Amino acid sequence: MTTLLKQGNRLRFLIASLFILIGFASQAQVILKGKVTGPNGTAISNASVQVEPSNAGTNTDASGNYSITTTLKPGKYSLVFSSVGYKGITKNITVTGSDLFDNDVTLSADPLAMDEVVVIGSSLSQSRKQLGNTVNSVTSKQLQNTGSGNLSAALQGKVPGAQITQTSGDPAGSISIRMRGTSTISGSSEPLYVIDGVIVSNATVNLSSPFVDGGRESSIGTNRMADINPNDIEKIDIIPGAAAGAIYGSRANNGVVLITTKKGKAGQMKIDFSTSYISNSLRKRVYISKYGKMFGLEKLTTAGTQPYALGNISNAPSAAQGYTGTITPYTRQDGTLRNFASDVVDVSRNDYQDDLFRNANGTDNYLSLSGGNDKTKYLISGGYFKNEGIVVGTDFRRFNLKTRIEQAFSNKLTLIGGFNYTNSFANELPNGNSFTSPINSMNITNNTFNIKGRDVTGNLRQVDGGRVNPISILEESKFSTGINRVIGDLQFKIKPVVGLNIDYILGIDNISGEGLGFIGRYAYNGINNNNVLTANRPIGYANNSFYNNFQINNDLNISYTKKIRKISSLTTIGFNHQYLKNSGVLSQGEDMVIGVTSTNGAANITTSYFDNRLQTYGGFIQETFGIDDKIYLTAAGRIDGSTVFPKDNRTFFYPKLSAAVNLSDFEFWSKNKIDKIISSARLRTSWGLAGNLTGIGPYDRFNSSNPGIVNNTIGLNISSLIGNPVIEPERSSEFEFGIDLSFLKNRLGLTFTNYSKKIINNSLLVARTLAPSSGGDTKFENVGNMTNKGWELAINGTPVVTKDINWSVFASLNRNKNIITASTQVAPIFLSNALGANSFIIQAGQPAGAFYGNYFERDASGNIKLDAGGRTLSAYNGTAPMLKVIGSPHPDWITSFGTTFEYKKLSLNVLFDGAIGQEVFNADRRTRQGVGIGDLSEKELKGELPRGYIFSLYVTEEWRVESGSYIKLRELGLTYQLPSFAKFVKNSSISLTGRNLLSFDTYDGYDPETNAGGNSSVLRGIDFGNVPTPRTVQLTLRASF
Amino acid sequence: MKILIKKYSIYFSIISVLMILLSSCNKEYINPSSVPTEVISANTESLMNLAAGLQRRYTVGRLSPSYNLPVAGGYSVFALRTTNTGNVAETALEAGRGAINNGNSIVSSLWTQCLLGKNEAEFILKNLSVATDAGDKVGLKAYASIFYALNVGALCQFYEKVPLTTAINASFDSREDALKKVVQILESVDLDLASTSPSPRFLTRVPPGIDAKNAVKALLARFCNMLSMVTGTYNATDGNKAITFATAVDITKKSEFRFSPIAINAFGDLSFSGNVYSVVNQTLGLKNGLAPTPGSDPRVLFYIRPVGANFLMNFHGLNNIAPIPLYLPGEMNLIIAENNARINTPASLTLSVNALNAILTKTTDIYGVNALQPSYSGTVATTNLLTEIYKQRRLELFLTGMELEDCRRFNRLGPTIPPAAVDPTSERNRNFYPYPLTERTNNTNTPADPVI
Repeated sequence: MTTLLKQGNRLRFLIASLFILIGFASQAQVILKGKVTGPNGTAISNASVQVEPSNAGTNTDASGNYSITTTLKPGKYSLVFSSVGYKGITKNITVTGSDLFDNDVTLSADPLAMDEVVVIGSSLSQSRKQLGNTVNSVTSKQLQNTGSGNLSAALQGKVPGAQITQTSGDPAGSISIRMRGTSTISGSSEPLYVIDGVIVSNATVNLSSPFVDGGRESSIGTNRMADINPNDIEKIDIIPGAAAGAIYGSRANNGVVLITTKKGKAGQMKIDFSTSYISNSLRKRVYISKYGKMFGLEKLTTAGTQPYALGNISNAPSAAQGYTGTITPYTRQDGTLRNFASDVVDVSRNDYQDDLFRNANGTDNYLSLSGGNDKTKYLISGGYFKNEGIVVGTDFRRFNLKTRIEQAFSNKLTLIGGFNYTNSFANELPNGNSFTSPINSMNITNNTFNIKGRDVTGNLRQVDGGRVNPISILEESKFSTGINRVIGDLQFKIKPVVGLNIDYILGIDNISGEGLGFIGRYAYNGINNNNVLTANRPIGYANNSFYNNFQINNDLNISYTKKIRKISSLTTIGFNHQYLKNSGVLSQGEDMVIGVTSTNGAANITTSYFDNRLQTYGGFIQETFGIDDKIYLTAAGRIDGSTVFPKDNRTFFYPKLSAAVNLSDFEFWSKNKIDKIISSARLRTSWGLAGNLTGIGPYDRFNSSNPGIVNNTIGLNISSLIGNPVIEPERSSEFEFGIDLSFLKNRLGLTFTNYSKKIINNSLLVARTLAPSSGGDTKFENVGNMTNKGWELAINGTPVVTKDINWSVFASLNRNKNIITASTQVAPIFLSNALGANSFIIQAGQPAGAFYGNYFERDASGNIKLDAGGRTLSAYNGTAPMLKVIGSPHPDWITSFGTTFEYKKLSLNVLFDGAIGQEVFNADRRTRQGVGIGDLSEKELKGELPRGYIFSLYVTEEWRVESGSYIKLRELGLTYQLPSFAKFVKNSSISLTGRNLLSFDTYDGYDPETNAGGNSSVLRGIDFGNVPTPRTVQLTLRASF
Repeated sequence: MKILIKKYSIYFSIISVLMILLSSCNKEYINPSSVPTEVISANTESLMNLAAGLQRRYTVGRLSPSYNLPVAGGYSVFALRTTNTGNVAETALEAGRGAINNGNSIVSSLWTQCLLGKNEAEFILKNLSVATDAGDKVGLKAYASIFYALNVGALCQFYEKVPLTTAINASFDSREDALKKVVQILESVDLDLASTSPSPRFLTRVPPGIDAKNAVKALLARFCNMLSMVTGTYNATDGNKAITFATAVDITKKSEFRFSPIAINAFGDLSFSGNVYSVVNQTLGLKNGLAPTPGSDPRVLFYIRPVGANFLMNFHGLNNIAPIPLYLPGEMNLIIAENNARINTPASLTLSVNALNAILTKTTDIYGVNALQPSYSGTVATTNLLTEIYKQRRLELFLTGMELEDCRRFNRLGPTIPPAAVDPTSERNRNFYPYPLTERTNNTNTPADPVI
């Protein structure tokens, strides 16, 4: 037995000796270890330590220690330390044989994050100081304790130059992101989202209530980034536009959001857990009159018997209808004569907001398990989020399951695979132009009814004829969207020789959705006395709609780095291909069998099938030269194509140039002691072209005829959209230059960027209007140019850093001016919209989606002129109302400022953000006055305003345009790191966060941050039947084991 | 060299892969839910579908002429009242005069849909040679001609000039030329229909409800009647043609547009809801002594019913599936009466009174539009007869969309021109509509808008 053992040992010894001998011949085993600390002496965990040139490297553990065991040929190496928020350090080592290197390093603060490695493309990353263009980053810590379970909302106030707008306050309400202004008109202006190299869909889909018509340019519904769990995210890098676009050239004109999810790290297994309680409430009520009078006569106050009286503010009951009181005649400038009833009758008024809104609760729970060793790293996570809406009956719930595994087969080959499953489900109610929208129903219905009252059989009662009782909407209609989504990726990272990286990514995003809608037959009569349909759907409605969005992308990127003396070179070539298929069936039915809630119970069913398929593809080559780590020059070119465009106009060449000069790294800087004042300085500039390859629909270039039913017969109609066989993709050029400075020994950082983004070569894609005598009314054409010019300033600093206190502040300011500079179509293009008003236009010389309409006549000092009776006068040229641009939905300024104050285990976080200078088209306010439930109608009733005042205002669009400027207390959070209470708990914390607690605005509605056009590119700033964004308070417990 | 190739072989292979992939992206995706227009022009079956589509465009939904004609016509003669002033276009039509501007959505829908319908009708007429069967061909020609006439005829009622050619910067033609073209197209198919009937195959491809032979004659009567007064001076040649065609119509045959809950009569839908407009009252908007004595004429409550503060429509505005007659039989006798009154010979005046009495004493109308009035007892003279005929047209053909044309043709009191005050006795609030902005700003040949 002992001999056997001895023999075994001997064998092992022999093998070991052999390896050592081989090692001696070429390579030596080297151990590198030490500790990484920050400026105040605290350990920096998770800092990266890399041995260059080689594939060896690791991250520091929780106490800042690292240890690398590797084999290296004798020679000179660099040990590169880096960590987010710190300036990197390089230590030179010389390997002569087997050796142990012990290097403790202290990293200094890096307010400009120059050394931070940022993702610039699917699998490509560079340190920020090498880039000539802006890349903004948001870390996982910034996404914690935001009070929102939505990723896009969590970014509000954190990305300089981005306008992030929550367009609906529903729990699954959509959130729109604009980087450096509206960058296109036709198609989406939302940025491209890439998660771990997978191009993911952020499609805005309305499956539950497809009957809500916001106009062709609108984009209503939940945008599907709602399916992503912010807890899974490690870091987000945001590329604002074309200047950075070589890697994503074809799709980068709206910017790119590159999301890196959490991964397992070598070392001990780690469990992260968090749980939250969320409380939502209505932040602000609108004014609803409770003044107990109404114009007209007694019988007009009775529900159902006198439909459409609507408070008689603008209506004129006649003697024939039983009115015998005082008549006030009024002829408006356009010649409309109204004989108003001036007598009032007693009514009791109610505030339906009491019935529509509630205080709502939610919860967000997350568990992840991660760990690994040098070869294998894994992460498994799960999340459960549920949040109720402040409108009764609405909620959003999301399950997430995610795994990510990284397996290194050798130093040369790593395989990474990830799988993310989401199941989300929203109970929702329509926003916008629908009789079934709760907010709309409140605004368009007189408030003289007891909407909760029931008849003897327990049925709700009718309100104004033609209107739906708001309680019917809450109780008898049901809309929901269910989503099953899988995002998966498979990536090979091959490093055949030192310096050469070959990455291949296969990414798939598949969304399948089911939209359900149901409106029961209303029990009350009046709108139900005939077996017919009207827009308020009194005889019941059902919707069963299905949708599938499949995207697959293949990306191959090959990069080669080489350093020859002081010149470093990074060459990258790549190829991307994407296929998208988006298809579905909308099936809607009316005239329902009682008891059946699907279209199976509908007498009249309409279905429509849609199928959009497209491919985009491109290849690029990019070269970056670094000169002594001080100057970086990049040139790139790519060719892109898209099947959306005709074969001959598909592919275009998109070049890019950029330069970065790190001034403070030159000798003169320290020699002249400039570094005593300005610790670091960098100049950068970048120029590039990008395309909009999905600017039109896949079939918009064809002449076609569309089928449709007439009197139970199928017919065809020649589409009024004329095809365009010579249409080209939209191309935009972006030029930016900037400076990054840090002062006071890197305690204060300043970043300034000036940019000019232009759609060039007359390539702006617009669905232009045609004279109907030409045979059609619309045609997609390249008609003009558009610019977004502006600048971004970001400042961040750490006024106090001691062992116990860490106080940091930041602020950002962005100025942007959007203008359509040229167009071959001179006349305004009117955009169809939820209001059905010709109030939103595309016109050269104006910002995209400018508000347009009739305006008030004003005196020299700017006051609205009044007629002899004290009613307003509108600009009228004698025969017609005069029209002009009366507002713009584009903010002049976007700003944010915040601070984090940490004292020992306690930290306070404050974040304000705002948009200033934009207008909102407030349709709801006008409606409330017209229905007789607003503040002005109350004044007209009381006689404080002349009779007919609201009628005189009613057609003047300027009355609906209001300042939409706001600054919001977006986040206010307090976090306490709990003392260690159990051995197995590594750390734990408790946080209390408030979101949207305050808004500083003068807006006469719920919230100026809203949009009935949803995520539309051009219909912006429209307030019509939208649910307001709630005030949220969230209590979170986090722990790591 | 060999070393070079070896060194860069990976690049070479990648570039070749790229080239292959790039060149392979010549894919053309075709929309499975629509037809390329060139397919239709080569296919009889598709042309028949397009013929059905003509009716769809003309009748279905709120953009259709079937909605816009009665609404515009009704408002123009004060027959309608807006119940909800949030409906901006309708509110402007109610105010009339300057309030109707070239951005008005009804003004544009009427213009756009009629021109698109005209274009589709011409497309069929141009490709008739594809149809080899005589019955197929005459069916296609009849439907295309009927809808050509309805669309161009509607334009002639609301606009001073009409572009007859389809082109970029199309030129405009006079109403006279447009109506002549309409009559020419209808007369051509009227001849064909005398010898050939639409094939059974054709009739299964288009929505049932239209009797092509009689519809063509009725439309010929209508548009010859309009043509007879288009210059302002009576043209007896066209007038006599109108009488001939009106007499030839078999008034026991219906031609009507029918609907289903998924392809609705928007005029009926919105009339029923009362949320947009209501009939003004039981005068039906008639003024200056023309309003019927309340309760005296059963046609008033045939067309409208009181609902609360409103008067909602019956008949073709009853609900969203109510059929809309292509023409009412009563129109024929009224055309005969009108032209005989204008011919103004003793014999013709007698014929005029006879035709008028046929309306006044009618009890057997196929749609139930029965006046049940005593015979005409007024002065037998052109002016008096025309006044009575106008009144009868308004009562007999309520909200059929011909109100503005009738009011003009009968030379009723027109609107004052702003800034002059509204004359409460004027019987219409516009003479012609302005050309829509979409046309004006994209067609350099658009004529000046009418003064009023």
